Amino acid sequence: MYRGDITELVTPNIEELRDKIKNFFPTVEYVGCKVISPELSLKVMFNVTNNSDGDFKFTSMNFSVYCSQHGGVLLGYGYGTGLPLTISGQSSRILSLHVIFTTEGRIHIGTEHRGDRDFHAILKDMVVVAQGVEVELGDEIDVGPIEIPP
Amino acid sequence: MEFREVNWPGLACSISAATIVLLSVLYEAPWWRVAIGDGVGEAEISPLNYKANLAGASIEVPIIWFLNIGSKLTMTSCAVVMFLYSVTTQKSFSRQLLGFAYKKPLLLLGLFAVMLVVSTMYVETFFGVYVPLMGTSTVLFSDGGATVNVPVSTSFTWVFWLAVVTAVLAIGAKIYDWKVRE
Repeated sequence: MYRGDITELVTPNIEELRDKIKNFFPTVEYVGCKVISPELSLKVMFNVTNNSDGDFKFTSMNFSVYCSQHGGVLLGYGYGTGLPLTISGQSSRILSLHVIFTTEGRIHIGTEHRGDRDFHAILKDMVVVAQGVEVELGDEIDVGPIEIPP
Repeated sequence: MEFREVNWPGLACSISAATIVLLSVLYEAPWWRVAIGDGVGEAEISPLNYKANLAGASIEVPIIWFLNIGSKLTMTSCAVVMFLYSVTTQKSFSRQLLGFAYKKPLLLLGLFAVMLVVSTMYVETFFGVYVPLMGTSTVLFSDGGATVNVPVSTSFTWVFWLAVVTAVLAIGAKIYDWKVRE
């Protein structure tokens, strides 16, 4: 018998492993976003906290942006700026995403949302490459409220 | 002892076996390496050493520690006994020494190869994840709505090839034994 349980001899401590693995993945918190004029693009910021002891590296990030109110309307495409971004262990950094609106997106915002103070956008089809691993997120991320200039 | 009475492949085998043990003790030198993503996980494995971590967490399996100790003792005994045999080939007990020593590197190498093949087949059969013995593959996971592509690369290290050479030298020592006894 090994420490009173023979199975412990051939299996790793799953509970301990699970807790440690959980800390490996950073926590992401939405900070805010703003419209950048005059060419009408959008900057979205997230605060990313690395809870592990080692570095965590984001290499690339791409996604599509849709209007939250008019679900089917594609507004533009976005990408991570300042990448690759390395976040040291037990620290936080701001991850910025840049959205470039398509002509149709610009027209839609200009006609439907000009002067909106509570505009929301949906980030979809997000593909993130971090630590050499490519993750296609199935979830949609709602960002807002965004103040659209009149 | 005459020059032609020395079993040279046996002597070389004992030196390479001792080198493998020293590399293991001093540098924890692995025979096979697997890397997941860019620092997401890695494992460095040999019959004499084991080190694995996933997402920064060390994966420890107690029985492997005991197996590693057993393998270190096996390889050390091979190095010592093969050396003694190689320089005392004409003694009455030399055949027993050779019989004891020459199978050890073959046994360790064989068990290691079988373990690797069985492990990769097990992972492929039960988890649907193809891990090559040598090379790179991309493992695809789906969880909820997310899809994850994880690059996995594996390689044999030069220490593995040294172990292969040691096993070949052990067979060579057995064959050469007929010559030194003529």
